[in-house]
Amino acid sequence: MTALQGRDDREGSDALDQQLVQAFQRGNANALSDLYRRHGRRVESVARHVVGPTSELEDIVQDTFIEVQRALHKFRGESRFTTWLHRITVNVALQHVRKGRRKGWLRWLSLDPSELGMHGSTETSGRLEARDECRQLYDILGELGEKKYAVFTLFELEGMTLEEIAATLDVSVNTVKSRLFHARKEVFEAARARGVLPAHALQVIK
Amino acid sequence: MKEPTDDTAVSTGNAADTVLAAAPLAQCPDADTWREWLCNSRDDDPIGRRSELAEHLDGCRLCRAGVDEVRRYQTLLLRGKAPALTVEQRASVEERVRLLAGSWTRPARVTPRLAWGLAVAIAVALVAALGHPLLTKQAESQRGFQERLEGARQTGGRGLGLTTGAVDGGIEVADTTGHWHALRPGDLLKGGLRVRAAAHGRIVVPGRFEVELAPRTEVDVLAMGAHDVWLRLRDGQVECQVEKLHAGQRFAVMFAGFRASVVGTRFVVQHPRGDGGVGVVVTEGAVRVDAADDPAQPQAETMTTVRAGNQWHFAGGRMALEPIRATPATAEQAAPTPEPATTSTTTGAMRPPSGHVHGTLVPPIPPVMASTLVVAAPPIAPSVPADRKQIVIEVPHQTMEPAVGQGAATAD
Repeated sequence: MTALQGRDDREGSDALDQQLVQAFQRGNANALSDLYRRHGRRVESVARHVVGPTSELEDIVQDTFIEVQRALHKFRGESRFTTWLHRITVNVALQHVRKGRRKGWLRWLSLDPSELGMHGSTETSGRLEARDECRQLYDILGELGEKKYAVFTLFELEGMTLEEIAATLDVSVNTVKSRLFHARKEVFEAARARGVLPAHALQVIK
Repeated sequence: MKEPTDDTAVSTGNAADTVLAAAPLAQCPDADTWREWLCNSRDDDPIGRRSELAEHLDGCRLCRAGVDEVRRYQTLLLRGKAPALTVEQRASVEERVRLLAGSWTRPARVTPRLAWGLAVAIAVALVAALGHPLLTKQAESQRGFQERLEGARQTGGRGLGLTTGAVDGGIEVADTTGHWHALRPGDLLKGGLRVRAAAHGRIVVPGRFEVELAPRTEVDVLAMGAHDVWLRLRDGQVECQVEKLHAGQRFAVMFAGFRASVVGTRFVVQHPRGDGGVGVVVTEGAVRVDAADDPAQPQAETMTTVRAGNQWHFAGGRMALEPIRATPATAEQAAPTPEPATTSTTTGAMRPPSGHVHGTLVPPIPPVMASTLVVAAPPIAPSVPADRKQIVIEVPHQTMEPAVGQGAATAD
């Protein structure tokens, strides 16, 4: 796929989103279902990365579309629909994270290693060790401030570009860079202090 | 580009560090380059140096070890993310979204004409609401606080009210209709009510305050809620013990055109009957006194903070601030007497020497009224908890009684 083709596809997709939004604003309720079918997986993906381990992903996706339904009549198309949708998704997910921080230890007790995608590891101690490391990393993330947390997960895990994150969070690219710099620093220093990440890894990423 | 620093080669005893120790000290890409490469590896060649970096990784064990560890942590984080929804779950969410969409009704659109109509209506309402006091400020001032109080009585006043925990003595309360009935524990005390005590009485609102009413005391409740407790002493004496106030909470007692509001940790204010003026005596913490005719609008230009060990006094149009002095009049204060003449002995004790006069106060009360009041040194309230505040205020019966119903307007 060439860059030109990609841009054409994106513009076509944006135009279709805009048509669906306008249809919804005119009273066509089915347009919301169409938007869900088009973007539900992406919402799910963003939410998964932002919230980390949770068994409430279904609720988060649904809550996101409840918010979309409430706010869609005010959407004026000044930004891409996907950017607007991601912003709502991140906000809903962060609300969940906020809630989850109060009972963070519970989710780790309830999660099975298989839920962490560790199907490949047959050695019980290895799986437990991996789960422990994973838990520690998410604990470290949980200690980040909310703004840094959002930038870090969207960049490192969701793979968004700085520009996409800036548009999603409605901040400047420089702000994203700054938050990312500080988030990385905090995460890697904490990871090193806990022994999750060996010292030499820092030579590459710091 | 950076040179690996010496500390990268310091072995800590594990295998990875052994690898590091053997790493060649070659020129390595800087951290930003690696970060970009690591985070954008799904793209074709984000920084146009893929082959160069791959080649470097092959030859530099230091960078390779670091990159491997970073990838490992990324993998760990990715593993930790929430499990993807199942097909059934996705179908369930889609169904719920469909139902959600079906329940949606388009919000009514406000047409420009209607919007302008609304704007004009709001503007007219604002003018009616704000213009009136602006244009007739003088008349409003003359009508004074009593009218606003009556308005508050009609509308239920400020605050949602607080529930009384204990009520001792024969305390009665009048609602907006003017009907008096006994105040009982558990009753809601709210703005707009008037409370009176024929004999000694006490009202306790747990967690907030305790007010003792001397015989023949009448108090208007101006506001009673989570934030504000505003009382207006119309007649008699109240003694208030206030629990520690939190941010945004206020407790104030209006009296004869003045206001005593809780500021510090603990204080006592006494305002006994007599004909020498009014006063506030503070034993602990601080009290703010100002010539306010509205508890919500402090008069900054007349505001005085009376700190522990001092007393504020006002008589004959002059204000004084001086240290508390012992007085033999406390026994008489403890037992209020019906005739003001019996307290006249205290007047001399509390009348401030001219050297302590700090300023001239122009109060909203007529001088003749102020001159009928007297200040006496109060008995220090025994054993009040440190986080509580105490106010004792007394208004003379003989000056306020003829004015009940209109006396406050005269005072303000």
